[in-house]
Amino acid sequence: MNITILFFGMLAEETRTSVLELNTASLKLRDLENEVLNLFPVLKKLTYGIAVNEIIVQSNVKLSPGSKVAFLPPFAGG
Amino acid sequence: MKKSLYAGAISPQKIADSIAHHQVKTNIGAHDIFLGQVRADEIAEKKVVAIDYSCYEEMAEKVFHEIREAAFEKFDLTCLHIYHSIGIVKAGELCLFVFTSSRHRKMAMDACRFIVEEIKLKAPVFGKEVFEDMTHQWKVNS
Repeated sequence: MNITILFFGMLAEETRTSVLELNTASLKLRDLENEVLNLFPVLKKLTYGIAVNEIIVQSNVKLSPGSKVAFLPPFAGG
Repeated sequence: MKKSLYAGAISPQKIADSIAHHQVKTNIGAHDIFLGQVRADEIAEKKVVAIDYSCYEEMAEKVFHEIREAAFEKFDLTCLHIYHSIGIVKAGELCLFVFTSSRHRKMAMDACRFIVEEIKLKAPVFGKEVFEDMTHQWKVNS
C-alpha cells in the first residue's frame, strides 16, 4: 500500500527530504519506521516523534492505505 | 476553524488593535496577554539574529484548535486568541501572542498560562536559530 512519509525541520534537513510516497508491505507503524530508518540511517542518531494522520502516536498502530506518517523533531514553538 | 498561524513577526500594532476590538465587549472584566519574543541568545560566541519558524501546518492548526477547545472547557472565558508566527522573526520581535479575556482576572490569568504551556508542549512548530554569519542550529524547547 502507499503511505505518505513527511519530515520536518531538522529531520527534513538531514534527510534532504520533506515528502516521500512509499509503497510498502509494512502493515504496522514499527515495521514502517524500520523501513524508513533503513532508507535514511541518519535518523537513527536524531530525536523524533511520530504522528499518524496528524495525531501523535506512541504505540505500534495499524496503518491503512494513504496514511500520513510524519517524523517530527523536538518542538520549539512559543 | 480559526487560524492561529501567522506569517512573520506579530506587530505591537496588531496587539493594540486586538485590545481595542474588545472594548465593545463590556462583559469582560479582565484580560491577560502573553507575548513570546525572540531572544538574541549567544551560542558558542555566535549571536542569534532571527528564528525561522516552520511547522506541520495541518497538524499545528488542529492542535491550536484543540488547545482553544480545552481552554474554553476548563476556564470561564469570554474570548480567546492565539497567534503563532511562521517564517522569519528577528531577535526582539514577537512570535507568540496569546490573549485571554474573562469576567474576572483569575480565569483569564490561569487560562493564559495553561495555553502557553500547552503550545510549548504540543504544537508541531520547529525553530531554526539563524546566526549573524547565516549558519544555523535547531532550537529545542526547554
